[in-house]
Amino acid sequence: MNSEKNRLNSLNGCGRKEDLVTYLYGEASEVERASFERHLVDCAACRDEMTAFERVRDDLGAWQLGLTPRAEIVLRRSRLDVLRELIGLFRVWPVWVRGAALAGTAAAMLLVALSIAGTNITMKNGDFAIDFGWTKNSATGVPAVSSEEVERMVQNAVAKERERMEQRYSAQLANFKDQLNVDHQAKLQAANAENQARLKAVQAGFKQEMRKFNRQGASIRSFFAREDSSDPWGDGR
Amino acid sequence: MEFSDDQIIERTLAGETDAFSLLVRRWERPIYGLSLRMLGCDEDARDVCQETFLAAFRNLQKFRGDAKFSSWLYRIALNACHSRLRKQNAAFEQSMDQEDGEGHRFELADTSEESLPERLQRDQRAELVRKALQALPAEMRQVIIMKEYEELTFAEIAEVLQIPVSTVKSRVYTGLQQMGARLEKMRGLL
Repeated sequence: MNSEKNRLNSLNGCGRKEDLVTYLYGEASEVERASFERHLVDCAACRDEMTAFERVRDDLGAWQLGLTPRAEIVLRRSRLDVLRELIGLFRVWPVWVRGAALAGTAAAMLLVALSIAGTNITMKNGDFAIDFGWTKNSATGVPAVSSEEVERMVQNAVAKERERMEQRYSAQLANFKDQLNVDHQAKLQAANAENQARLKAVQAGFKQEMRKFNRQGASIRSFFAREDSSDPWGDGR
Repeated sequence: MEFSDDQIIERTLAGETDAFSLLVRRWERPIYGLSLRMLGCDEDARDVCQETFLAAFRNLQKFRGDAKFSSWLYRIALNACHSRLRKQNAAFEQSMDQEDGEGHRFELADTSEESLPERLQRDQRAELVRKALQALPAEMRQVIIMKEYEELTFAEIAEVLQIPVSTVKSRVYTGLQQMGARLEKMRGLL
């Protein structure tokens, strides 16, 4: 830090470069400001530098941005989110497609369960017979379950599956409403940010004018300060 | 009700990934502005903006909260800018006699109270400033941008760049000197 300060000091012999930028940007304390203003009276180099820097800042202020392009961020989704999305897709299918998918799923689940139980299914006289592995009827060849009963079992399985899906849909709908609310809040914030940006652009223009005014004021004060110092007795001596 | 940055981060880390969009909306303009003025190109600035927020989201768990979130975000953006400048061989110190033929686009504020001559004059000044800024070394350019446009204090800039405050002031001083010299020279060429 000291080597940096020494490097600045060596540039034109004035050791108050850091104080100059601190004063320029209004970050000086009351004591520091008063001290530097007294210094300005005696140091032409710093006065000239201040004037030059004010001009540069004025020019920099000419480059203000308008509307900002919206940053579109696609965040990676978790597997749970992907599953939710699949369920959401299922929700938008027509009712008959959903019903067929449910019935197919239930029938497949039932067949898998039956095959695991060692069941034998045969066709006889236009009707089908199901022989469960654990019943005694298989030895005599008498059908253990009729087709109507199988149909009823399938219907029960479909009804249970539908109830489970409806519960999931309700949960999904609740999540969807929460997401809509968050999105709405985000849009409100974006609108607010844009209004703030416009206000900032107007304020920047106002600041430029104030800097010009302050620069003129500083010049006038410097002028009178020089006048006073050249005539300390005030009587023309 | 407006949430603080820390509150939004907490919600995001708790699983509400959509809450992160509030942070994006809040900080996209300053990050875009910083990137545009560092790189001088709208397309590159948009890319850096996207990269910054994606990197912030992916590394949010690493954000310790001992510094401000904005300081951390600015640091990510500046690293992305420097990375891009290194890849492009940092040839933004253009000769002032060369015309910028790439037609870099950048949005200017629309102050509709201005007359057309005033608007043209401001556009011309803005173009000079853009060229003069691009000619500054990146180290000085970033402190000038953060001071003049993002209106960070010297202490905040020091926190972003993790350098002493006196170094920040030194770079601002030298940067303003060089900007002044270049702008005078450019005006002389017009």
